[in-house]
Amino acid sequence: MQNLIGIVLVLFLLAVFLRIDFYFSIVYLLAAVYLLGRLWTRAGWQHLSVQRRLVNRAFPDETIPVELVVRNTGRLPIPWVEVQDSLPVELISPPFYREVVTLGARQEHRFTYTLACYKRGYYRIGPLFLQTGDLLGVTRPLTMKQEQEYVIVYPRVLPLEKLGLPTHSPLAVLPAPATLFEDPTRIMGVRPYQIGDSPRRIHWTSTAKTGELLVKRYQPAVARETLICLDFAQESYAGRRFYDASELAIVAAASLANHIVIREGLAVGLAMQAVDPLEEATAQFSLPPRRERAHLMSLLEVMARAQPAPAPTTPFPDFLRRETTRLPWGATVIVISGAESEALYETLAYLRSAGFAIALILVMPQAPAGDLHQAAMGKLPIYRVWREAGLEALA
Amino acid sequence: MSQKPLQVHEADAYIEHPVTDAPDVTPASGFDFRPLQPLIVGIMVGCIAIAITQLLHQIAPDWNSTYFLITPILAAFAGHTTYHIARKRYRSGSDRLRLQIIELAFIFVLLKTATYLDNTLVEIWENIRQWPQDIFYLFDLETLTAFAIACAAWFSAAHTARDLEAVADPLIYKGEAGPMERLSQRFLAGGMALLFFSGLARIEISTLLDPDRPATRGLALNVLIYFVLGLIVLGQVNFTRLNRLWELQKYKVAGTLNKTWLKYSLLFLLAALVIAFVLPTQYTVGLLDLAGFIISAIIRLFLLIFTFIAALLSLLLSFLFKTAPETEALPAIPTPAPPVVIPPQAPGATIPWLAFLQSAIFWIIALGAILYVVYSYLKERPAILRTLKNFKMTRIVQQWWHALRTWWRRMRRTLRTKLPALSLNFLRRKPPHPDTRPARRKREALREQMFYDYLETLDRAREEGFPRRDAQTPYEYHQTLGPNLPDAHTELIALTEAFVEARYSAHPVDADDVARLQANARSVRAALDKVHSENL
Repeated sequence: MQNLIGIVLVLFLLAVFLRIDFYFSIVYLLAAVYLLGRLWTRAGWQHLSVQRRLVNRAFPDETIPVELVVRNTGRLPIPWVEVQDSLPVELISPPFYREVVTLGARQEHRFTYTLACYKRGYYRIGPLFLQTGDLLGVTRPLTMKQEQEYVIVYPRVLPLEKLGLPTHSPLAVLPAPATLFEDPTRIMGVRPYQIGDSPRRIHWTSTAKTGELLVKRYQPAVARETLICLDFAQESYAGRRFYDASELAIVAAASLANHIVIREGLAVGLAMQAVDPLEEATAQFSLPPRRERAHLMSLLEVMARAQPAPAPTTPFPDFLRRETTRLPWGATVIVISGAESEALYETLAYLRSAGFAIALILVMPQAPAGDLHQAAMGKLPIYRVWREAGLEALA
Repeated sequence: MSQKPLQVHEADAYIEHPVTDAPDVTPASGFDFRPLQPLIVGIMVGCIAIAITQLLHQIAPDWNSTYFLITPILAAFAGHTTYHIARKRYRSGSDRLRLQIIELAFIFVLLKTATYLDNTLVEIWENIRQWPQDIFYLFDLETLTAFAIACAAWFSAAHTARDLEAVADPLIYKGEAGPMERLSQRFLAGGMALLFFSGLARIEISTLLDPDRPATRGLALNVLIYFVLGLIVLGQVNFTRLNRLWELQKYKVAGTLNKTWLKYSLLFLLAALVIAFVLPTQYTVGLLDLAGFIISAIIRLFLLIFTFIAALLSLLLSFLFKTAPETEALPAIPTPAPPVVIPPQAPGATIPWLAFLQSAIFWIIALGAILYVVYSYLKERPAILRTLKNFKMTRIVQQWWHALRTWWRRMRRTLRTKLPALSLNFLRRKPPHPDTRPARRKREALREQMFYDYLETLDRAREEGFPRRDAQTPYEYHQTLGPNLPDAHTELIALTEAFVEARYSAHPVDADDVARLQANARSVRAALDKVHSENL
């Protein structure tokens, strides 16, 4: 009845023309139906609010209960409210939650549903739409949109044995855990503050001078830092095992990071090029080594949302060289890749000669890359991860 | 077994498909509207039929009223039933058309037969014998009129039945205007026809164009029933439509929705009816009369206040001049002139309070509705609004309006400061109502504007080498900055005070507060610029 106002005007003219008093009441009735319907809908819509409650981080195989609270804060009841929440198909099927309720004055309604987290990723929850209208269909329904939220499902973290990696390696170059790996008496410079930095490292003088939070960089006393460099280019995992291999690479990196921080109590960082769903473009992630658990969670978050990059901006060997320039002498570099190449071995050899401890983890590798590989075999610790079946069994 | 493919009927854009495909949309609980559909459609058609019968009675008093009353009702039932039969038995459009033609022909035969009910067999035979000579013995005006009415009722009922079915099953429909829209259009068109016929039946047609014709009063029950029933049906049809859509889109529907829908529909309709019958239809006080009445009331109020103040002053003066010689009489306080009462309509007549109330409600609603319509229209068309704003007349009106508001604001402030002892609560702004969202947003925006201006000044001061430390309160910072800006000492105090008030108070800020703060901030920044140039 979108044209009700026009009809009311025609009826009004008819009532004026015929001069019948009662017809004005009919005109008033229809006008009141229109206006009341419109006002009621608008008032209800203005007093409608919705809240989504959920924990937006989970590990694989966990479930996330989601609670939606739709609330009418007004004095008028809302005859009907459509609630539609769009959900990722990886977490729930069907990929939506839809319900219709009626809300009395100052009443709220709670809906619950559960998201099952089986696969790592960065998932959009929502947007949530609320729609309400009048009873007679006189006015157009009004829609309210609540912005989307995000859920992070961390990558699976396995004991290293399950990946076929020795627990003491590739950190074998550092046989004993030592707590001192930087000499706080020898400052070699400053760098911008990053999340996870201890407040004690803040260089207050420089911070005050520049107006930017800066932290001290100490000279290494004993190199205890590890950088995981993950080759996440699509071409490195080409072939029929692309999906399994790339996921296994992430699992390997996450498990190593977890092992180094939790079991060894040492610092670990991450460098990788991957598609970031937040930016919807290829991004370079560079997280310097830290030993805090919060830092580990940051690494896992990055690994949770990373997707293989179709065209990395920098070739992986060059990226590797660039990322290691900031590492202290003697640090360990763990390289994870799905493909061997001469350029990679050359870079690894160069890094080794530059004083880094190198370890290469090949995930479901393809054919070896010739003589250089043979040569590198003698100098570099190389590990191969094939435990696809083992991962499936764990899933 | 091969099945005929689904077809789209070109004329009405409804997909023809077997009835077995039609979903069962019986509501899970509560009120099932479907069995009552034929009865309700019959009653609504009957309401129109009454009006037509009344009109025909005026035009042709010899025609049988009962005949014209019953015919459309029965035709409506037949149309409704035939539609369902046709859908069950026939799938092609031509078969259905044949059925419709047969049924209408049968209705004509029945109507013709019914015209002979009052006649004897000899008279009937005599009439039939005349058919070959004069075809109008067969197609006489009374029968043709009844047939035309029956056809209208039949088609309306059949189409209504089809639309009601389509509402419950949106998949059979592919037209542009939805079945709900068609139903409501038919309801309103029927209502207009009803009002027209009923209106003509209630007045002398010969006096239709007479401007001095007195207004007709009294309730038309059939009209009321038609509209009330129609609105209830539309509510239920809307529910069926939404329910079906929700079902198709896999919505979970709360079990109580069915009952609450009917309850709210009835309450909603009751409220609309109350409004419709409270508003005046017979007597309306004119807008100017009403405005005059209100203005005279305001003048009376002011005179009363003035009298009261004058009385107080005279009392005080009498105390002061008590010792004066008694021969010097105090000047007589001028008696206020009697209030000017603008006569509402007839001179000397007062407005009865009920009529006044009714008229006030009427004009408030009418003016509100007109303003709302104009506002909504212009809001949707910003180009027109911009063009209007460019008119000189609009600018003048805007200036007047701003001047009026400024005057009112100043007067209120003056009264508040000059006459603090008097109770002038009615002149004071009421505390803000528990916030509506737009009002709150506006106030928050103003407050944020103040924050922004203050912080911008702080940034400017930092650039000049007077940074505010994190731990410093605004007053402490003022003590730091103040000695460096002797030219803007007062402005800096005012700026700090205004910021602290905006930051830590709960009361709303208005545009004046923002303007004052901005002026002070500008002065402080100018002083900082001066410091900058001196340092260079």
